[in-house]
Amino acid sequence: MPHPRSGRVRTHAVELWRILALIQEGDGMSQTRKRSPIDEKLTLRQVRARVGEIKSVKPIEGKGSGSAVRSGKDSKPGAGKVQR
Amino acid sequence: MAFITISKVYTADPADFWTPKNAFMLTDPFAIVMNVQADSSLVDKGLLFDALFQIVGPEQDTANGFPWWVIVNGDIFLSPSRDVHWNGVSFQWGTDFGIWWFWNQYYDAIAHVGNAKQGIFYVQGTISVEGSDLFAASDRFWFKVRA
Repeated sequence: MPHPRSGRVRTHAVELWRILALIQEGDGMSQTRKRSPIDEKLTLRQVRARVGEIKSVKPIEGKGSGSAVRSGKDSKPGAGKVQR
Repeated sequence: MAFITISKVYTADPADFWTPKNAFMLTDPFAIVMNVQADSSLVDKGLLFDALFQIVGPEQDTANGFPWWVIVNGDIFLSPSRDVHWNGVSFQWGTDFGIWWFWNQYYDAIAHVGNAKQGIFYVQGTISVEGSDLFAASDRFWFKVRA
């Protein structure tokens, strides 16, 4: 016979677990993108200590057609006359 | 005497390129805008220009600060600016215009750069007129990013 309060305690524990998981996922910033070491503020000493676990990250770059050079995911150039 | 100047540089929400915005969340849409003024002779001659947009991480202290860095082939390199080049642009908008480069979110611009995800940084830019001695350099515009 479970203690009448144990179910509630277990529910809270599950919720706390979910919250912790969310924080680890991405600080609540994005639930779809995991937070990586490259997202943290690190001194160079910390980076060197962790370089083995930080995968080589290549700049996101690519060229498009025409005169507009694309650089970066979803990056776009544009222009217009100044509005006064 | 022909001239070209960058009268203003700033960051903005791509939904409103003409209004400076100096604080962003990491996932906010992000744009760098330069307002350019050029002599009409440059337009008349059909010259082209090369534009450089830069996001700059100002911390340079490798012992105590958080300088921007990238990893290439397992090695760490300091990389204090994120540069975007837009070359061979014509003066198709007249003598007083704005040019911009934008990302759907700030994160996309600096995804590969360490220490660039949160902090106070600045943007700047240059314009070089092809085939001439003419160029222009902007001031700095500071902005803040929160994660």
